[in-house]
Amino acid sequence: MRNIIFVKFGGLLIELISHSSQLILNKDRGVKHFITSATSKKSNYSIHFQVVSSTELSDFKQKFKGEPEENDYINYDWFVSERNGEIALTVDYKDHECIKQIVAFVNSNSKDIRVEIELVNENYPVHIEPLMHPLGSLLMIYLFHWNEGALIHASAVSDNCNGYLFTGVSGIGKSTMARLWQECGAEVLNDDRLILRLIGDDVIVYNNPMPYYNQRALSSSLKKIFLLKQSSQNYIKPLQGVLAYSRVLGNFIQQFYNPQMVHKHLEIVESIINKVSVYEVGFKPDVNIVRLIREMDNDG
Amino acid sequence: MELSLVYYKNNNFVSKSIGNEKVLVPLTDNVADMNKVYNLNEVGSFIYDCINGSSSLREILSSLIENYEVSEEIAMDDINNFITLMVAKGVLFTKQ
Repeated sequence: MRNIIFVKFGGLLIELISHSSQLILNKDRGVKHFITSATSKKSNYSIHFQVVSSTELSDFKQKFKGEPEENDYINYDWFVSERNGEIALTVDYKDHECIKQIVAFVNSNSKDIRVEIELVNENYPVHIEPLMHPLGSLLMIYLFHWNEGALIHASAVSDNCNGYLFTGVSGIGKSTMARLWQECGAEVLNDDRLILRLIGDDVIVYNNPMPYYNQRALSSSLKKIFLLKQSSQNYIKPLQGVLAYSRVLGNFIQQFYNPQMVHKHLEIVESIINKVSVYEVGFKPDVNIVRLIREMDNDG
Repeated sequence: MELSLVYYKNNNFVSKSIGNEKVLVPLTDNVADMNKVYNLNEVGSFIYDCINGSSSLREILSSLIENYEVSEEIAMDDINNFITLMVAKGVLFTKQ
């Protein structure tokens, strides 16, 4: 019997199907709160998981090799390869107890994604997180790119239906800012990674399945982006034009390797920036910065 | 500055216009490096757009003077500074 889960995040309905009896898709952890019941609505994507003894990649040309993220909790290498527009996302796990290799085949023209998994021992059933790290992140980068969206390293909150996003270099205070807003009654969407999508005239900010986060699906209409600076005093400075654009751009998560993809990403980011206001904000870690930002809206 | 020189754009940069300004994104080891983008102001963006592998710097100088109504001295300085920086960054090159 096939093991099927429907998940919805970032406005996309995704069907996750295991075609191998020994491969059980885990409904706990990352995807738990994004699971939705089977629906008559057509899925935006179907991800087909299958155990294989090896994956054939000889016709694929390697485009680039990635590195594990800093302080990553698992040991792996990853590669992006391509063959006639089909992209293979390969993760080689170095010391995973169950999985040797996992390869996802994605194509901008197809709603079906094939995921081939080579197990350490094919004879034993294995429970896997369907959007396991780092495959889930890589898949999301491409799927949302093809759906007028992008992922960004940031925290985001929803305050009276206004979405505010806080971004900047690692350690600058994204999580601290989220906590301050939570203390003031706002809802934290996430304090690490968000999806932004252009939907009609709006930019919608969504949380997404992440390991070690126990959150239900959340979203908000994004109104303002704040680039964080540590400062001895609170200030808010509007940014415009190429400066606003280039400073926000560096915080998006992307692994694009050809000029067409890069150009489309730049277009998506431009459309986002055109719909929201961008500010540099220097702040001391106390709730006064929340008041200052709220006053911006009260002042019109 | 040798005004007869013709410059070419390095294809390993993707450009994006933002109003009259521009960002250049380098492709490093085949991957876009969004943390090392170059911002071009309006004049830099204009000069960059004029560089096409066939127009000489003399022609670009004339266009700059005509479009911005600046003295030849100022336009020459702008082009010289821009070309020197962009060649040093690998954005532009000449075959001569």
